[in-house]
This record gives sequence, C-alpha cells and structure tokens, in this order.
Amino acid sequence: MLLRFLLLLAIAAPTLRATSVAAPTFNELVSEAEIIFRGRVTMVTARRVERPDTPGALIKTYVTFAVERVLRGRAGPTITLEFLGGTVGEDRLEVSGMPVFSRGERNLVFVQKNGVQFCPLVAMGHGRYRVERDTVAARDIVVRDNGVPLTDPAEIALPLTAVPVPLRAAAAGRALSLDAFETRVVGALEKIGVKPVQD
Amino acid sequence: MKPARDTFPHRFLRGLAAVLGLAAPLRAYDLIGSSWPDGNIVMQLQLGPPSTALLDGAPDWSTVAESALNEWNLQMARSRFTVVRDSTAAVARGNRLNNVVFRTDIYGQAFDSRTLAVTLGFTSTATARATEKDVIFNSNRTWNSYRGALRSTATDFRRVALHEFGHVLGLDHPDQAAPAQLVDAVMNSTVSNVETLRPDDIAGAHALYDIGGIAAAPVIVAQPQSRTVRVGNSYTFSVTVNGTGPFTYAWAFRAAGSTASESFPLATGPSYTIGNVETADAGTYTVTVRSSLGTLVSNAATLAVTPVTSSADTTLANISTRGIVGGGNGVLIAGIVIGGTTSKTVLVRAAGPALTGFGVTGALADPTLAIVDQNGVTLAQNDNWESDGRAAAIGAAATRLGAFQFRTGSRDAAVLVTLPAGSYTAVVSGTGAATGVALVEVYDADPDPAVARTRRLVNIATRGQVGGGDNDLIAGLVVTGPGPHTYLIRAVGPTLANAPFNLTGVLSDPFLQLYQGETLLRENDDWDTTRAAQPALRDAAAKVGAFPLQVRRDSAMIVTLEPGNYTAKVSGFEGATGVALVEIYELP
Repeated sequence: MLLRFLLLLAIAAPTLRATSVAAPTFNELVSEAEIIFRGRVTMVTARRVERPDTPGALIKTYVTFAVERVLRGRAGPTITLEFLGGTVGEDRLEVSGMPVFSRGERNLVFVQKNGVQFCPLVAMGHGRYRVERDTVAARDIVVRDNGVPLTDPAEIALPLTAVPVPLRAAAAGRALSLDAFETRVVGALEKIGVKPVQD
Repeated sequence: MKPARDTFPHRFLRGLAAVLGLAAPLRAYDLIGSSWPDGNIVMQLQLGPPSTALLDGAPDWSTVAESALNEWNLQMARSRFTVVRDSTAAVARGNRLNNVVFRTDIYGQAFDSRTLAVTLGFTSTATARATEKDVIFNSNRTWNSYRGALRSTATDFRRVALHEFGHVLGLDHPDQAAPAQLVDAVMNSTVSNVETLRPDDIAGAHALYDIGGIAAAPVIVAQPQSRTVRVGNSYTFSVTVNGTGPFTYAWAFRAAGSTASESFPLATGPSYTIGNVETADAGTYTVTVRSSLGTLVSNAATLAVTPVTSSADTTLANISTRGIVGGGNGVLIAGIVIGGTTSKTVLVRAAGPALTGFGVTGALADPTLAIVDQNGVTLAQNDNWESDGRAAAIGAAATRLGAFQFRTGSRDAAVLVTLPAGSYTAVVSGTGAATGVALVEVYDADPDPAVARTRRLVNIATRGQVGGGDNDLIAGLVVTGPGPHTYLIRAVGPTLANAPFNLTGVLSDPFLQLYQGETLLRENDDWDTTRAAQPALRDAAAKVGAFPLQVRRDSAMIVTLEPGNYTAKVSGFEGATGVALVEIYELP
C-alpha cells in the first residue's frame, strides 16, 4: 500500500521537461522512433571523427548490437549506433546525460536519426531500456537509464527522480517484464497504424 | 516480553531504512570526473541579442548568463568564472575556448527536437582536468528568461544556463548517477521549478572548488573507467580524489558472475594496474578512499576481457633460472621436461663467472653441470665449457640462439646434448664448498623451427634458496613463434614442507613477480587471490601434471604472453627467506 501510494504521488507530479531533453510520453517514444529493437551490446569503441564543415576533431562512441528482435523499422543482424562523446587515449569528450553502454548488456532501444543526431535515441536516456534478469522471479525485466525498474510505461514521461531510489528493491518485484513491455510497444505501434515487424 | 508483531508496514519501513543505510552515499551530487585547475574559467559569451524582450527585464542573454555564472561563483574558492561579453572568438571544438552559444546543431551533429542544451566537455584523462567546455543552446527552440514556474510557451534560459554551467564545473546529474540519488537539485536531469542552486548543488561546487581551505572530506573527481581489454594486454584503473588528505586506498574486485567482492591487499594506491590481463580478471573494480574526514567508495568500473587464441606454433626457445649454489643450500637443481615423442637437442649452460659481466655480485666462481635422467643416470656433464672439445659447436649454437657468449678460458659450464622426450634435471654445483650465484639455462637447439615446434621444451622447474636482498630466485623464459601462448608460473614454498616433499627451511611466503625487461607485468602473493582465478589455476596444474598447491601462501599465475623475453622473480614476502621452487609450464 505504501509503495503504491508513493508511486501514485510520483505519477501525480506535473509533467516536467528534462534540461537536456524534454521527456517523451510512452506513445511519443514509440511514434518518434524510426527503429525499435532489442539487442545485446557486442562492441563499444570510440574514435576521433573529423567533419569538413567544422574545425577540430570530435570523439564519437560506436555501440554495436547483435539484434535479437526488431519491433519497428529495419535492422540487420547487427546495428551500430553513433553517440557523440567518448574517450580516445587521454582525451575525453563528455556529454552529460548521454547513455553509456557496456559490452554484454541487453537493451531495448528506440532509435532516431542514427548518424545524424548527436544522440541516436529518442530523448537520450529516455530511449534506452536495459534488460535485466530478475533471478528471484526467473524473468527478464526492463530498467530505465538510471537503473530504476520500469513498472509502468506511463513512468517514461516522468523525471528520473520520480521513483524514489530506495524503492528500487521493492519495485523490482513488480517491474514490468520484458515481454509485457514489448507487448505494450507493439500495441502502441498498432494504434498509430504501424505494422510491427514480425519475428 | 512478547515482541511486537512484525506487521507489513514495519517490515517495509525497516527494509527501506536498510536499503537507505546500505545505499547511503557520503554525498548526493554526482561528478563528471574532471574539474578545472585553479584560476579563472573564462566563458566566451556569444549569445547575440534576444529577438524579444526578456520577461525578467534583463537587457540581453549575456546579462542572464553572467548572473547564472555569478551564482556559482559565490560557491567557489580556488577557481571562478569570468566572462568575455559579446565575444568574437572562433566557435570551435578543441580550441580551448569555452564558447557559450545558440546554435542549430552541435558542431555538425543535429539536435533532436527534445534537446534544450548540451555541454561538451573536453578533458585530459591523464590529469582529470578540463581543457574546454562549450555550452550550446538549441536555437530551434523558443527561449526567454523568467522567474517562477515553468511556462509552456518558452524555455527559461537562466535555469537551463545555471544547470549547464554546473556541467562546466564538473557536476553531473545526480538522478542519473549509479546508484541514482534522490535529491532536490538544479543539476538533476529534469528542469523544474528549481531555479536557484540547492544545498546539494552547492555541496558539489564546494567539493570541487573548495572554499577557503576548510578541511574537506574526500571527493572522487575522476572515477575508475570501464574498459574492454584483450587477454595479455594491461589496464590501469585509477581514481582522482579532492579533499583534505592524506588518503588511503583499498581496491576491491568482484568477478563477473560472482556476488562476492574481495580485496587486493597489495593494491593500496590511487591506481591499480592489471598487467597481462587474463580472463579471470573480468569483473568490476571499486576503490574505497578514506581520510580522517570520511570514507567513500568509487563507482564500479567493469573490466571486460576479450580472449585470444593461444598459438600452437609458439614455443619456449629458452628457459633459465638464477639461484644460489652451495653454502649449505646444496646444488641448484633445474628440472626440464621435453614434450612430444622424439628427441630434442638442447644447449644447457651453467653460468657463474660470466655473470660478473652483467653486474651480478657473488657469482659462483666455477660451476659444474650435470644432466641427469629420471633414473638418476648422468647423461652428460661438464666443468669448463671448452674442456670437452665441443667448444666450437657450443659457441656456434650460442651464437645461433642469441645466447650471450662465454669468454674464452672462462670456468662457465655447458653441454650440447640430444635428449629423448622426458624429464631431466640439470644439476649445478660448485667446486668444493664454494658458494655463489649461478644461472642455469636451457635452450631449444633444434636448428629447424618446424622440428622445434613438434618437440617442445614445456617446463622448467628450479629449486633454490631465496636469500633476501638481491638473492631472489629468478626464472627466465623466451617465447618465440607467431602469436601468444599461455603459461602457468608458480613459486612454491610452504607446500614443500608437506608430504611428499617434507623439506625443511622452506620459504614461508613466496612472492612471484613477472617482468618483461624492467616492466612489472603481474604479481601474486598468495595463489588463492583472486578466488575467481583458482579454478583455472587448479585446472592448469592438473593438465600439465603439476602437483596441487596445498598452502594458500604459495604463489601462482596464468599468463598469456606474446613472443618475447620474460623474467619471473621469486622473493620472500616481507623479507622471508628459505628454499623455494619456481616452475614454468607451457599450457596445452
């Protein structure tokens, strides 16, 4: 009861916009993504890139996924996303709020203008959901960019502070399963007339 | 008295408290990992005039930006913001100027429709100092400057600027930290009705740019970084701490797939280098920093390890051991194993006088060398290397194999002998009661590399005295071939005191270090550190027929080595002395 009360309080807070990004609603997240896929990170590399139209070098991080399932758009067996920022040698380009990926982890990602935008996800961290194993319940769950389990797609529009951190352990038990989240994504796609990609 | 019933709310609140207690950080603000050196942080304000009157009455964007910068300045001592208003400096990345601009893109990378502003930070990881921070506001959006609640018609420039300038200082989003922090702060990743610095923001600024020399608790300004490393390469985790020292550091490791952490007793500095990374090193690393004012734990950094294929064509071209002969310690005994099924030609040398040319003091003046098979039969022996009429062949072999030359007339010993596959010992002794340091070397002398690959030197094991000071037991190995190969190296002391060895005077706590040239690649005190490495060590020993280690204070390591020359040094931990065995095994 207490947990539900706290969550209700959080959900009742006014919709706020991120300083770096304006958080999307769940439906906006789904509709603005060009590609939605689930995959495992197989490689993370950073390198300097030059652009002829602007002076100086930037550093970009390239995250390669082995694709497990495509829900929207086209993706081959692997896909590489380009993120502004990263470390090459002793030089680091920091972009606060940029999602960080690690080799081996599984994610459901909502991709927008990969290679064009400085972050190829819808609303930066709002477009990335890690898949984690709930070993107690023997099921896969999805967690937000800050590691807090997602319990309802409506939370996507909320600030990351909306779900109190101490509730993480408790929330894990009622976290949205991967299957349930993907089912909700497919449902949202169908509502906007997009035929989901078949397995 | 009957205890109160443990109702759900009580259990829940206690659980909350426990979680809070476990997760309670020393601070809540989050740091990017870099800060500015002492002095002025010059911001090039290049914002142009507003297209409409600003709601807070400010005459221009620069005035608003400067007021946000000054709010931070009130909280800083060793550095402070200064501005160049209406700067005409070049707007570019990597020019060491802190541009503050409206743009439609981020140096050629498109904004998305939801991004308000971005701070790009250029930092040297070597110094953890910022070199440039450019703040780019998305000019595709509608901006104004006002106080009070957020408005849907325009984004408030001042609070966004206040947030972005916090990034310039080195502050990150507390709500996106690991673990995420639930605090009221302008530095949270969500803009809100918070429009001034909150205590948590101020604490972060104080930590980075300490106020007036007030003693400060440790703050990690550069966290250990995760990395993927190939087997055989090295990686250094490091942490940079601000605050009032001195600090102590304690590194800990949690193996991939394990739930338990273990500490590294020898890793007590601000950096921890894993030389010659092996698969068992994969996992997360943290460091606990302590001072008299506080304790904190770094973020966990993950080391992912990419395996390599051990080259079957890579062989041990030479293995050698340096140790003490005589003086009550008896002879220097090197065990040699030749693998395969056919004979191999080897050059075995016992160097004594020749070592003085390398600066070794106390070299054995006149070593003698005998090759003995498993049945105790002496197959070959030599006192002075030229005495058996094979000086020309031995000299030619040494030249071909790249061995240093024995001087004409020297009392060093050598044999060039063809041995069937099997186990042998090379016994080095001194004349009479002479004592001194000797080097026993075994070279693969098969002239044909193809033959050498099929009949391999697969092991050397030398028992000798570890005498303290410079009298360490040293084993050398030369790896040759097209790629890396994996080896088991052990330094055994206390196990030798047990059955079936039952030796006395053993080295109670061997310390094993592997070098390439002057570079320390890897070291191990007790073979059970880390726990993650134990199964592989046991398995490797079983594969090559090595006896099991019975005592945790023995040392062992598995290393994958690229072709090259390496040295394994066995010393006594904290000055211990005694008899030890150093072993090198080629792993299949």
